[in-house]
Amino acid sequence: MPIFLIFLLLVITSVIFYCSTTGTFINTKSIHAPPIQYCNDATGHIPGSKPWILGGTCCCTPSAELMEQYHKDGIALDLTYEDLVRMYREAGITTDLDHKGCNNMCDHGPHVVKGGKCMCTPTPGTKNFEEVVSGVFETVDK
Amino acid sequence: MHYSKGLKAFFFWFLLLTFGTVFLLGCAGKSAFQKGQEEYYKADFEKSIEYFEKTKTKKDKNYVLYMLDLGTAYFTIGDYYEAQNAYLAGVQTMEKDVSELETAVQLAKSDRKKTYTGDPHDMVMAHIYLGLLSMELGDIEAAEIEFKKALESDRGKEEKYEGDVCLAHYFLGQIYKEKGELDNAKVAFRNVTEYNPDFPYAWYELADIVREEHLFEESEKLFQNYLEKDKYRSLGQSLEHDDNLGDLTVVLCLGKGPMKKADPFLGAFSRVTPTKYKEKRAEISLSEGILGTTYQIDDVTFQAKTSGGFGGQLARKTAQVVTQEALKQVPGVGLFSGLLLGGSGADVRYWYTLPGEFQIFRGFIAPGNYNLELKFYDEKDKELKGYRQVWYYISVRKGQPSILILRSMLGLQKT
Repeated sequence: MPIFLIFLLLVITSVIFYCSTTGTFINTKSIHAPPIQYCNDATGHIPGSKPWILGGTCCCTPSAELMEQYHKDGIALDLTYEDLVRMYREAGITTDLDHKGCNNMCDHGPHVVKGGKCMCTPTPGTKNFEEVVSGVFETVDK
Repeated sequence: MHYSKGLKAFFFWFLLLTFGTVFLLGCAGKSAFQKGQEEYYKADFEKSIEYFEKTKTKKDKNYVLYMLDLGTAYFTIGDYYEAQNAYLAGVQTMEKDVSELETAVQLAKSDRKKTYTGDPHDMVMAHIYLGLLSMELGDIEAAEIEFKKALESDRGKEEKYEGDVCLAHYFLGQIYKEKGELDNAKVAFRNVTEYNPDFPYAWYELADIVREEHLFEESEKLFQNYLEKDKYRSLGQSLEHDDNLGDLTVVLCLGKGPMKKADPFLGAFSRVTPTKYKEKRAEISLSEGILGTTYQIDDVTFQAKTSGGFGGQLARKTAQVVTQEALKQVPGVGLFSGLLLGGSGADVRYWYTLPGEFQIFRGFIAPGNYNLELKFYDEKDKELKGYRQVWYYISVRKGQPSILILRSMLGLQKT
């Protein structure tokens, strides 16, 4: 085989390698989001949703104001704020009351909706945040 | 021209062996640190963290760089808790007092073999990141301390460059405003308008504060400056506040930070060199409506170039050469000093994952959950489709400022 053919082959291979690693990707992610499945402190509470610990879809951090909202919606009428906090703690679930800013990557992670024990508010502007809120994700981290 | 079979076979195997060896060495010869840096810029932050985590226990000469890069990887993926730990470890190591014996040992070594203790701008940027983290974690007091430390660390090679980190001034201004310290806030925003007069939002803030002081004519002039600088007018056409609106700030870590190369004339010294990157700004849209564009608040390469340190470098180099010359006179050491101590080559190590700039967008928006789209443009204002980002469920609340921190990168959302 002539030398120039080998050289040509190497050049073509290099170009293919270069193109596969730079500059040819186009982001086609839709600007339309899936509906919110699980609310949290960042999205704001969705009225009518039950706390996660009671089998619901609300992953907001327990607070006195949140309990008031639950009661207004006829939810957890027999529970107080302290009861709710104790239920999460007894289940081994951490919330923003315990620590913040881990994006559910701490030792208690992943997020409870992904099967973990961390219910800290995920960080907006990250893939994990979108997966937790939409409930749409491919794999569980642990 | 005809070649013998033997010659053709020789060339074929020679080329295969050469390129195969180069390829394999390229893949196999890299440290976990280098692999972590590569994965970071391929936007695989989880893998990048996996590699950087392996360097954490190696308390060797590059420990500061391991922590700074690890911190940035965690920061980018949104684990602010671990990012804070990593940055603090880096800062504490940079601040550590070195014992006299350790100093003597370090002087005997070449720059490349020395413990990396950070350049002045490394300290500045580490404190900037810690300040941003503290704000995101809701600790305003800690954020104030970190931004002040960033300004104190910015020594500047000339007086005019000292404390000129606009991002620190801008967020200090926001913090002072929140605490009701309007005089301090005014000074902070005025610093931004002096160091970076093209940044629009500081003009708006100054106009707003001055209006509170009933200096309406001055306020109007300052507000006109805002209107001239922000063509999208995302903070409104007037200073009249609509209390029903929320306040969204997007902090964009854009491009790639500066690298270091040996100075072409003084080979023993390193010099800051800009890294090329394509993206120059981002246009922000919220649920299909264009809101505005990001504006540069700080150029990291400029900060690195003007943060001083040459005088320190010169002093260390002088001391190093004197020490090494002295050691050469020691019997037994002299002959081997070149091998033991290394040459006087420049230290070209740098914080690899630092961005090239910080840019900010700010807008007053009706409360709600939005889908945010960022379109990136190059210096010719051509859209860079591979850099586009879309983020869902970005919440804007009435009376509650939201800060979103993002990173520009090719292929960031390829999966």
